[in-house]
Amino acid sequence: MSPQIGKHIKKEPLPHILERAKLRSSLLPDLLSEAKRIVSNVISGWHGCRKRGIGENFWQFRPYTEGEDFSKIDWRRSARDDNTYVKDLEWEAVHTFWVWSKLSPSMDYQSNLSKISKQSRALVLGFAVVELLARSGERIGWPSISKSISARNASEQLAFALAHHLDNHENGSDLINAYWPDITEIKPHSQMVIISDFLDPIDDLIQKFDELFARGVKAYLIHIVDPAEQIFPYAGRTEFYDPVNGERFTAANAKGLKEQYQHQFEARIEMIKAHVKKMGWGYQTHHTDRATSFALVTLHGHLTGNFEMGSKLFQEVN
Amino acid sequence: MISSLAFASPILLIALLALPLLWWMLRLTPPKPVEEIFPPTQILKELDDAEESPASSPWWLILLRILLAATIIIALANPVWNPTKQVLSGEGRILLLIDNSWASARAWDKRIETAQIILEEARSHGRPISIGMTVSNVAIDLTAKSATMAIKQLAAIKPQPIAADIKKLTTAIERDHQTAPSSIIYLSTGLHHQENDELRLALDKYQTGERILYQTTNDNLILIMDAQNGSEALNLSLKRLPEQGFQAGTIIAYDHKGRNLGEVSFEFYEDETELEVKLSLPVELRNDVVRLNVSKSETAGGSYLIDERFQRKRVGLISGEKNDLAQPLLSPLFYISKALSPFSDLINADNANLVEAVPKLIAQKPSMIVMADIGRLQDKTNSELEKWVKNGGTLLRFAGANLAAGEKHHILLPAKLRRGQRQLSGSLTWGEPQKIKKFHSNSPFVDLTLPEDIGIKRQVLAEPDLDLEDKTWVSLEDGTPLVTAKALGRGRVVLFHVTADASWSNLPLSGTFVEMLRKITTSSKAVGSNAAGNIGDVLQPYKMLSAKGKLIAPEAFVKPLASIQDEVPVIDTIDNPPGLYGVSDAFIARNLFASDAEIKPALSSFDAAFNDLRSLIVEASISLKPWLLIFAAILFIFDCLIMIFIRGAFSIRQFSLKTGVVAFLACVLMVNTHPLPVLAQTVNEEQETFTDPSQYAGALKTRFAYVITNDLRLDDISHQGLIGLTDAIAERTALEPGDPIGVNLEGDELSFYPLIYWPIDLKSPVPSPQTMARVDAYMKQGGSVLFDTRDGLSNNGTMGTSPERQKLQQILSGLDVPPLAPVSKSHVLTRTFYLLDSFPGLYKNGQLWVEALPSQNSDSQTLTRVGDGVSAIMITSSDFASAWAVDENGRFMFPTVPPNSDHRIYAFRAGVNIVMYTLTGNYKADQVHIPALLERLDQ
Repeated sequence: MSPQIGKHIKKEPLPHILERAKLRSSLLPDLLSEAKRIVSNVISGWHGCRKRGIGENFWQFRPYTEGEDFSKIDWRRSARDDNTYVKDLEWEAVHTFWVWSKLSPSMDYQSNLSKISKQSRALVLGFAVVELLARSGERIGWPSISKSISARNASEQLAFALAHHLDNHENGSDLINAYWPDITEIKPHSQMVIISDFLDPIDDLIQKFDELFARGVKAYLIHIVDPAEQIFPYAGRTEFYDPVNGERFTAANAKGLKEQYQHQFEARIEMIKAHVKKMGWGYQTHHTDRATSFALVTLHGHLTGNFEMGSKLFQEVN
Repeated sequence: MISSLAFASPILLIALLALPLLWWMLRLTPPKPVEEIFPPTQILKELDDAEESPASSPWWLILLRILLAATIIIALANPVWNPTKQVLSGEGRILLLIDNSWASARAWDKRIETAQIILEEARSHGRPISIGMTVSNVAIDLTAKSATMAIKQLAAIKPQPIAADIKKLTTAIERDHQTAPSSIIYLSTGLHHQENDELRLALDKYQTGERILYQTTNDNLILIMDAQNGSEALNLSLKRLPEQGFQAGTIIAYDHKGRNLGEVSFEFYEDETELEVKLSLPVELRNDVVRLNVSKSETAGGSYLIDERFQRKRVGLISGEKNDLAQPLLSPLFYISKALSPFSDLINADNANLVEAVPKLIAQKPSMIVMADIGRLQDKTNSELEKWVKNGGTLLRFAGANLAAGEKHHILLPAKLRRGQRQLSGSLTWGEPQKIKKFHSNSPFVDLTLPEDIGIKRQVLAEPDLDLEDKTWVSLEDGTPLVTAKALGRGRVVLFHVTADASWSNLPLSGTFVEMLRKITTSSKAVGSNAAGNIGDVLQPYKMLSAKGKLIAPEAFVKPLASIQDEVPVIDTIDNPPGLYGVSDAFIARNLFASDAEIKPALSSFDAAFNDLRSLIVEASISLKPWLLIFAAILFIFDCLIMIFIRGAFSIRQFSLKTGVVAFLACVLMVNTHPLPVLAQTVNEEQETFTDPSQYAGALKTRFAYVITNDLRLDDISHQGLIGLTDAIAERTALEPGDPIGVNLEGDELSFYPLIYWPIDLKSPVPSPQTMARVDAYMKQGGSVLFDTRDGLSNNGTMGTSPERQKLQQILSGLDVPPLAPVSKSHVLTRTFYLLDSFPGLYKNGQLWVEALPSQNSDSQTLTRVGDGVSAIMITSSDFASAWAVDENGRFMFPTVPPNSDHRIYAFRAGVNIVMYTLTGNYKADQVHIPALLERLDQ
C-alpha cells in the first residue's frame, strides 16, 4: 500500500505560531535596512502623507503668519534670529488594518510535498503581518476576535484572543467554520489582509469579494496552496474525501484526471485574480513549500505601494 | 501409445465446485482504493468527465483469480499425462538382471527408469523380485524380495567403470534354488561379454515363459584404446563397434585439475572400426596431460588415463669437466641444460668420479643420459652404461677435446672416429665454417627446417664406413656427419660431432639445437618407472575414473594396488577400477582396456535366449503437477503486478517518495561525477596536449624560463637578463639556448625548462598550494629554481628579514625544501665552467644558497638524491637578472654595484656556472677531488 500523500494536521498551538511569526517579521527590518540603499523611505512611515499635519515627525520650520496659534511657535528656533518660526509636523494618517485567516478544516491539510500545513503557514503569515503593522503603529483588528487595537504588542493580544477562542470552541464555531470573515464591524477605508485557500464555491467567494468592495475596503488576498493541490500527484485507484463536508470521490485512475484538474484549478485562480484586479485589490498565491518570507515581502511591497521593491527584496532574501 | 490424462487423486477436483462461490466473493470485494484527504475534492467532482470507479472488480481480474484457483486445485489433484501401461505378463517371481558394466553408463537413467517401471508394476501386482547385476563388489543375492525392498536395492546400483563380471552372476544363478521365476528380464548393454554363453546356459535351467531382453544401441560409442607419446604428438588409438556410419568427434586432453589442454577432432568413415589420431601439443603441455576424453562420451571407455611414466623424461647429465662453474657460459652442460630444462627433468651427476656417479644416475632411471665430451670411461662404468642403453636408454654424446683424443672405436660410439679433429675455419685455415646440408630422413629431425645460420668450425670425423650413411642423422655440406646415431639393444647412442658449447660451432647457440635435443628426448623411452621407487610398493587409490569417464575421488571399496610391475596389467575387478593410483605427484594410471582389447556387440546367439526383445522404455508418464504449479505461480505474480498497478504504484507518487530519493541521489551522483571527467580533461589539456603553440616552443629547444610576476617592469628585466645570459652562454660555451620564456606557474608546463628564474616580487601574491605543488613536482623531477630576492644592497649577505625574504619564506613554506647551505668553496658550482669563488649579480656580496650537501657518513641521503646531485633550489640576493640584462642595442641596462666591468664579467660567469651546473649535474664533481687524486698519483 503506497503511503498517503495528504494528511490532516492539527492546529498548532498559537504560541508556536506567534513565535515563528515574530521570527519571520523580525527578519523584515533587517531586510529593510539592507534595502535602504534602494529605497530610502521604506521605513520612514508607510503612510507618511508628505504634507504637514498632525503627526509626530518634524516636517519643516516656516515663518509665523498672522493669526496662527501662539502655542505653535517654536521658540527655540525663533530665538536664533529675528523671525518667528512655526514647527510643522508631518501629517500621518493611521489606518485600521484587519487581518483574517481562514481556520476551517480544509486549511488543516498538509501533503508530503510540503513541510507545513496550510493552516500553520496562514497563521504565521497573519501574525507576521500583524507584527509588522503593529511596529508601524497601525491599528489592527481580527474580525470576530478582536476590535481594532493600536499597540506594540498587538500580535500577542490577537494571538491570545484567538487562542482563547479556539480553546473555547474545540468543536468548531462560526469563526472556525467560516470561509469568509464577518465584515459587519469593518468600516470603510480600512484595509484588510485575508489569508485563505479559497476552495469554497467560486460564486459565493466572488459575491463576498463584491460585498467587501462595496464597503470601500481595500483588501489583500493571500491564496494559500498546498503543492499537492496544484500538482495533483495522485495516481491509480484513489478515493478522495473533503475534510470540510466529508464528500467522497473515487477515481479509478487518478493520474488520468491530473490534466483536467490542474486546468480547473488554474482557472479558479485566474478567475479570482481577474476579479480582484478589477477591484484594485492585491492578490498573491502562496505555496506552502515556498518560504514564508516570500509572501511576506511581496505583501510588504504591496502595502508600501512599491511592487518592484518587493520583488527586489525577495531577490536579496534569496 | 495413446496419450491420456489421469488424476492420481481425483477427489480433490470436487473443490472446483467452490469456484462460483469464489466468483461471488471476488465480485463483492473490489480492490480497496487508497484513501486520500484532499480539500479541493469539490473541484474534482465538478470536472466534466470525472468518472467514479466501479464498486466491483473488473471481470478480467476475477477471471484471472478464478483461473488461478482452478489451476491450483487441478494441480493438487495430481494429473498425470500418459500413464504407463503394463509391461509384464504373468505372475510369480521376477528375475531382473542389470548389466551395470562400463558401457551401461551411457543410458543409465533410462535403464534405471525402465527398471523402476518394472518394479512399480511388480509392486502393484505384489510380485516378488530378484535383482542381479553384472558388476558388484559383494556377492550377488538372488533371494526373492518384495518390490519395495527391490526399489531400495535398485537405488544402490550404480554403473561401474569396469568390464562385466558375468561369471559371478552366472555362479549366483546356478546357486539359485528357488522356484523358477516367471519373468526373466535382462537390461543389457548390447555388448559382448566373454562368458555370455555360460550365462545363457545358466538361464536355460529356468523353464520360464517370459524372457525379456532390453537392448540398447551402441552408436557413438568410441573408445580410446591406447595413447603413445610420439615425437610430435600424442598418438591415440580409437576403436568403435562395427557397422557404424560416418562419425566425427573431438578428443580433449585434460590435466589433473580438469583443465582443457588441447583437443583434436577425428572422423570415422563408413565401416572403419579403428582409427589413429594425433593430438599435437607442445611437449610441456603434453607432460601435464592426465586424462584424454572423447567429448560427449559418457562411458569410462571414452577416457584414457596417462601417468608419469608416459610423461616425464629424465635426463642425466655427465660432463668431462667439473671445475668451470666460475664461467658457466664456457661449460658445455650449460647449453644442454638450457635446451633441455623446459621439457625434461635434469639430473646432474653429483660426483666428479664417474665410477660412482654413473650408477647413481642410472638408478634414477633416466630416459636419456647426456655425456658432454667424455673420452674414456672406466670399464665398469662402460658396461653399466651399455647395459642401460641396451635396456632402452638413449645415450647422447657430444664431442670435444677429450673425445677427440679418446678411444676411436667403442661400443658407446655410433661410428668409428678418426683421431683428432678437423678444423674448418680459423686464423690459419682457408676453409669456411661448414653449414648443415640436410637432416636425414631416418632421423627424428626430418621435419625441422634447415637452419641457414649455423656454421661448424671444428668437428670430429667418422671413419668412412659402409653403414655410416645409415647411421648419419645430420650431415654437413661436404657430406661429413654432424650427428650420428646407432641402435644398441633396445636403446640407442647418439653422437654430436661437435662440442655442446660454442667453441666448435654456433650450433649450441641456435634454436635448432634446442629443437634437436627436444626431438631426441621425446623419442627416448622411459627405462623402468621411478614411480614405484618413490611411492612404495602399495599404491593408494588417488583418483578414480567414474563410470561417465571423469576423474573423481575414490569410493570406499576401492583397494590399494598391491604390486607394481613395469606394465600394469589390466585386471578388471571392482576392487581396483581404472583410475590413478599413488599420490598427487607420483601416480600410475590403470585403464579400462588393454590396448588390444576386443569390443564387439553381443552375439545373436545370446539374444536368441530371450523371446522378447525390447528397447528401453522412454515414454514415461509425465506428472503435470509441477507445471501447473508453475503456471499458478506465474498467474499469481501477474495478479500481484496488476494489483500494484491498480493501486497506483510505479506512479509519480512513488517517484516523489522513495524513487524520488533514489533518483535524486542518482542525479547528485551524475552531477557530481559528470563534471569530473570534464575537469580532468581540461587539466589534461593543460598538462599534456599543449594547445598553446608557445608551449611546444618550450619543448623544442633548451631554454631558460622566468616566473611572470605582477610587475611588468620586473618581468622585462627578467626577460632581458635571461637574454643576456643566453647570449653569453651561446658565445662562450657549446650550448646555444633558445630565447628565454616567461612561465605562468599556475598553468604552464614547467618540465621543459632546466632552470627557472624566480625573482621575488613583493606585489605578487603568494602562489596557491596547487601551484606550489606543481613547483614541488617540478623540483622533485629534476628541475632547478633560482630564487632571487634582489635585496643584496639592503641586506648585505646576511640572512635577515627584509620584506623580500619574508615573501620568499612565505613562498617556500609551501615547498618541500631540503636543508640549505651557502655554496662552499669546494662545491661543484664553483667549477662547472669557470673557477669561481663567489657568485655576484648586480650586487657584489650576494650569497648563493643551495641544498646542503649530505654529510659524508649518511649514505641513505645520497641514495635518495635525484637530479644527478643538482640542487633543486638556489637562492640568491644578488639580483642576477639585472646584472645580465641587456637592451635591444646590446647595452647593459643597469650599472653594477659597485660599478666595475670585472664585476659584470663575474656576474656572467656565475650565471654560466649555474646553467652548466643545472645541465651537467655532477659531471664536474670529480674535479672537486682533483687535489686528492693528484696527491694519490704522487704516491
